[in-house]
Amino acid sequence: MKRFGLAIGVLVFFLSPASHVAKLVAEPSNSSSTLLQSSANRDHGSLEGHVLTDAGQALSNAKVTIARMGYQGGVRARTAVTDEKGRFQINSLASGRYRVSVRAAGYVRADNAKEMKYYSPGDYIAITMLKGGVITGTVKSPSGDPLIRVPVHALRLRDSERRANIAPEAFTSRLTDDRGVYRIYGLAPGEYIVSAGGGTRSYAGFNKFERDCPTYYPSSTRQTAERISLQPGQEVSDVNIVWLGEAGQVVSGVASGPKTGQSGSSIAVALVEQATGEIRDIGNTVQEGAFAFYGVPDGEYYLIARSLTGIEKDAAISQPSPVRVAGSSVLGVRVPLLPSGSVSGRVALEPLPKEKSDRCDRRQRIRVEELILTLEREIARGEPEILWQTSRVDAAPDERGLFSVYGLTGGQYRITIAVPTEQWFTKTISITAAPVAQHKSGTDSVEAGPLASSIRIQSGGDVYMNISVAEGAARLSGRVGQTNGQASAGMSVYLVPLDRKDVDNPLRFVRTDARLDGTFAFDGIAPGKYSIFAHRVGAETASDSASSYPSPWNAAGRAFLRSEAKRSRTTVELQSCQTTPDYVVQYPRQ
Amino acid sequence: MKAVRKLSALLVLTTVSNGAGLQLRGANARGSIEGQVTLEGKPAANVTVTLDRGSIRSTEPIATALSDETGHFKFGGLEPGSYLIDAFAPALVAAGVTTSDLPRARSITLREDETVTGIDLKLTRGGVISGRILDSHRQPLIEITVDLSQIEPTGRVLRRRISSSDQVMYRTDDTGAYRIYGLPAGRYKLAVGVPAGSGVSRYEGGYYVRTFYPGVKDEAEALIVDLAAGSEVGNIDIIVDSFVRSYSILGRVVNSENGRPMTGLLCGYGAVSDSGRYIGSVASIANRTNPTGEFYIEGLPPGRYAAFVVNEGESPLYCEPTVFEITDSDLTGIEVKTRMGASLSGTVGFDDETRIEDASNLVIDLNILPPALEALRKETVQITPDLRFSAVGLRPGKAVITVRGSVGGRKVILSRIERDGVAQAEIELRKRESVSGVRLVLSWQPESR
Repeated sequence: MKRFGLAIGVLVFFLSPASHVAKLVAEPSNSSSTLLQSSANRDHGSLEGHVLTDAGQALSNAKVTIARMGYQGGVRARTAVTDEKGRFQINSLASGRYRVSVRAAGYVRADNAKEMKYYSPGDYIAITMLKGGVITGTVKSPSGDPLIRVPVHALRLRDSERRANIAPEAFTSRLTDDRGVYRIYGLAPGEYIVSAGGGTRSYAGFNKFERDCPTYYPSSTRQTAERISLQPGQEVSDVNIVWLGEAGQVVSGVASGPKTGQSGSSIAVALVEQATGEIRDIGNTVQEGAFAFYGVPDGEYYLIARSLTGIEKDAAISQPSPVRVAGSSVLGVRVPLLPSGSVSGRVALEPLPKEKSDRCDRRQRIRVEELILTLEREIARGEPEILWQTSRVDAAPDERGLFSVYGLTGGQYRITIAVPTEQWFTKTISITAAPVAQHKSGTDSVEAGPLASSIRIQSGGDVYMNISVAEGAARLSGRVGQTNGQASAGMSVYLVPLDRKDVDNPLRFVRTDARLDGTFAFDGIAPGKYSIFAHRVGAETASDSASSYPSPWNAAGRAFLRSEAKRSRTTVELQSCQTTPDYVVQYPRQ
Repeated sequence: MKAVRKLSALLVLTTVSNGAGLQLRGANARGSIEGQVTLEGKPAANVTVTLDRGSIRSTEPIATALSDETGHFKFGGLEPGSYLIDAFAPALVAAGVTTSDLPRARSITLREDETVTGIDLKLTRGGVISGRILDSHRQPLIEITVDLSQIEPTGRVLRRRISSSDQVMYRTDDTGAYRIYGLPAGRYKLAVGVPAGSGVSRYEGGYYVRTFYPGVKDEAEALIVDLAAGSEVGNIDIIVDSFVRSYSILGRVVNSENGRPMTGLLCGYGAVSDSGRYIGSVASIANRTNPTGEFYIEGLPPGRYAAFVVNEGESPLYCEPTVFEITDSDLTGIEVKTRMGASLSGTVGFDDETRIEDASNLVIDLNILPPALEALRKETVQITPDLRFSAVGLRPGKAVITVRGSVGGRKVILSRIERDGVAQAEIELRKRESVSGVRLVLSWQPESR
């Protein structure tokens, strides 16, 4: 429980007693007061659901927060607390897409549930929380004396699905007590390294252990740190650390940029190891953008700064500044912040004209605010993957279809649009030369042409676009027919556009992974003529670095897919709203 | 807990020295401070001693030193000024001190080139109180903060201040356990939960009712923990059975004349008694109403409240506060109405030829009767240099006007109110009425002696 009434987030005015007492103790006049009883207003939509533990028990008093996507200003987040049966309900919600987060002391969200998931009013939300794991042990001197008030940090390197996870929230810290005992609880399952001392002030007040290099479990440097694997709810004890107490260096400097020095702006700085991209430490600057990291071991690092103005528009991000620590402190490093880039525009919905909609049974209406736009930064080959940099941003348009995404690091971004039903598809994305007019429909602004690749976003630059989402998507499903008796596992099925106007349109290249039994399904496909073929994942080399799939987001990937399509010589034509079942794709092609 | 990380910039001077002198300000500064660290009366080696400038122990001492084998430490090369000496020894307390309130640190004022010796830090092992906080089903309560008060020999109850570097040990872990160490010997009272609220306090999710060790709500029944010097008292478990859930309200501010949402306004609230009066203070929430006029207040325990719009200044509107009652669910659909108010304007002056050169020390207090729950509005009216005043956004009712302040250093009172030259006992404001031509006639306050 956190009490926040008189602290943060509210302004409290205490009325001076003398002149105001009369008013405060007076009866309210009947005309100006209405007494409302508890009543659920169901005029708008509501979101309800439950929170259970992985053991299937109700989790009561968990705090559920929902936040509407793409909503600017005012009431954005709403909260509810689960009852004794773990249930919650939030009423009077405007239409749109909502993100849900849950907090319960000692519990964590399952990793597979952390994929961005969005809900619309009327949806039921079932949430499972895992009992957090525990890492506990002691920190002692080489002579066996307990060390008191040593900050101990657990850093999650990999999540339960063994994906690298070096986000800042991966740090969880506690202090040793008077017996030298620490207990870090509420840990998500995964692979951890544990370190004592070193680093930034994790706790207020002077702490001598922060001035030394961190000692990693069992008694080593980062290079030889032992990894601890933590299962859901598991308690790993005797993670005992023998303190090395090696003097650490200081890395300090100033992060400054276009908006620094403004009131309310603060800058977060991360110390990232060059070789691994692993965050070693993270902290906020004090006045004038000054920062310092203590207890830094020798090594090669990047410093990355990001301003936290509270206003997304003014976000600024630095390029990684390399720093080499070798036997002495490095003071006075300048980390220049660059203004971030933005993408904004308008999404328009195109329902099918009446004469074309006959084929479409069960037409589904959608609202433009239910769409989710995702911008994903391409990590170039050889570029260190620094997860602290924003690599993926989700946004939603407002009721008028307008959207803005701020705070983007310079780079190449892919854009995808998630549509809530499979009968709609993204028809076009076109970059416009000027901001999309707020009131007119987007079609009359100057078109700079349809999207042929990922979008280049420059530092401080703004990109404008028109997006059209149309009704009448087709569906195609079937199976991969094995001609040589091989197993179908690891197959992907591709659609490559053949219509002249779309041959270079990355939105028209579609991939789906076949299930283990070889069946596959495409939903939300734009009508048109396609080449269809199956391909074994990772079998070819023309892939981008982020995955083993050939990417339609660059010319080389498209050329590769086109050449594969040419060799397959299998075409399929999909009409508006057409559903094609039982389609067999031969592999290898004959 | 997730670490709250803070960086600092003061670096260059931060160095660890090993007992030997430390140059802080070059060759010209020759002041020094010396002393000895003892533990249980014996010299204590390898204790980190911190030196701070001024009188507050900071995160960034200007220097640190390690005590040598005889417990001695020395800081040299110091400029004149005030300094604070302390040891980084969280489990130790100052020997012979029996109150939580006395600091262990030593303050020194250093004159130019002065050598101050004998700054001894006499330490002794502190005591430990540990236990668990459990609910009535003996389930652990996680991340609950324990309040510790010391009962001094005089009987005075002193609530132990929890410094930010200490607060982690006052909070329970996932097993509900806490362990508070580094305590001076003494008699202690332990409690968890929240004392009766002020009516504006908000709680995330809810709160536990104030409960004393071993599980009593009446402070008089609380058991006292007797802690001998350097000892440990365990199993100080507190059973807490009363949790008060909190709820949220979603409301909307609308213009009563056209039903339109009122955006960008600040809303406030306060707890109201059964007789419809505010209990204690009122508060305003941080967020303004959104484009659909909505406001949202979360963390309210069950009870009766009023919500209103904060009148931030020159708004021509007043609001009709809405009273609502939270019982056992979140509330939506609460509507707070704004209405076009009445206005009152006029001039200020004396009956005779007395001229007011400077009205800046004069204030008009304006109250409308009968009073309403409309709170947090400006009730003082400024007088312009040309001795005019104007108030807008007034609720209908009887305007009660007083004048406070002085002219040329002499106190004045309001002797008479005139409206269009006719003396008035009071001024009745009707809905949306614009009352002008009011003259506030002043006279000197009679000398009272």
